[in-house]
Amino acid sequence: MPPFMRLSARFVPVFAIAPLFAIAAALFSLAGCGAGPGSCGAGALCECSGGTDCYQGCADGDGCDLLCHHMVHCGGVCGDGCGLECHDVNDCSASCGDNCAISCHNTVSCGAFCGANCRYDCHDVDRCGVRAGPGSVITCSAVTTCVVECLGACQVICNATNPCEVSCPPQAPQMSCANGTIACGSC
Amino acid sequence: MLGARRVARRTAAAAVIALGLLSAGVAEAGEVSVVYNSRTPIDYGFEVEPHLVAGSGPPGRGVGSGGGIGVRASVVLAPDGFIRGIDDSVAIGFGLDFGRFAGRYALNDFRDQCLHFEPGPAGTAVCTDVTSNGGTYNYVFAPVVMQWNFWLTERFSAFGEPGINFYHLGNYGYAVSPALYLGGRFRLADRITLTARIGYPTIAFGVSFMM
Repeated sequence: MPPFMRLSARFVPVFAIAPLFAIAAALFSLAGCGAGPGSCGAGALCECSGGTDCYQGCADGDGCDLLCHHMVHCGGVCGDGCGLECHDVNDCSASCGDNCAISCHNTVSCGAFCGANCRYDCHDVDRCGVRAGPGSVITCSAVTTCVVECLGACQVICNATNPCEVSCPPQAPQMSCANGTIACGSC
Repeated sequence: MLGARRVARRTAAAAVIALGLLSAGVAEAGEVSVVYNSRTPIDYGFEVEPHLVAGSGPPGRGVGSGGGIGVRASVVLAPDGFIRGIDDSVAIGFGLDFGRFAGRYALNDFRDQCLHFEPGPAGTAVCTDVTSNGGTYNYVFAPVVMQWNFWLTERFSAFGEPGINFYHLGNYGYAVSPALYLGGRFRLADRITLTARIGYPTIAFGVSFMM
């Protein structure tokens, strides 16, 4: 009889199960690192294409360049000073802090939240919706519906876009500028 | 080139030795007689099997690879099985497995996913939070399978387990996926076996207690 068969049956369960639970405890203790959302590093271009969904984030918080194209849904989440671009997708989403440059084109819909001093360019799109902070400049070109919510003073440039809806906060009332630009606050 | 041949020869030799030792071990374990046309070598009606699970490419929105812990309980419905002349038996198995999967351990590349959408202007949806490094996904699997056992020898048995797998994934809720496993048991003691299974969505390694 092999040595292991000499083990009494009442001891085997203890020897057999204890390692299982020890390994399982180790597995569950593997916690994810506590870095910021996403996996892109600042300074590098992170590109995502093909497939159905891709949502990128800036692991370093600020200063990422995120690009996605040729898929169904995609988007980027970033802090300040980021560049986000998407094209040739169905739905594109962008969420960014201050001083961001966002471009969305050749899509069905573009939605964005961005902070102060945002530069948002939307063209050849069916629906474009942007909520932008003060000091932002939003451009809609060849867009079926462009809806912009300015949270402070901003400028909206609409070309071949109907309707072009701009809402302004009370402290920066809407006005039409001489060059066709719609502005919140001053032209 | 010479080194590669030497490594290949050593690998082959090691494989032959390992096979020989395994055969010798099986022979020494005794009773290598193949079981024909008799009831199961272990007379049992209920089997409980705590085990470790691991897997990759889980069903639903989760991605990556991971592992966890679980238990399978099987109730023998047909001790004589489906086929005459072969020692088979049929049981129904109910499982409960907890698995934690991480995108960064995916076998292929991973993508982050949006965790939270907010309604934006013009009827758009804006993603405001994404996973990090592919994200982590906590699954609770509850497979229900038909376990078809084949008692090959006094010590070895194999089984197939087709069925369905109910699962719950973190914030994504409940869903169902197909389940299919192939497994085997090695008898350690009278009513105790080492049990392993491979399949989808997990593989498992544990100990069975027959009652």
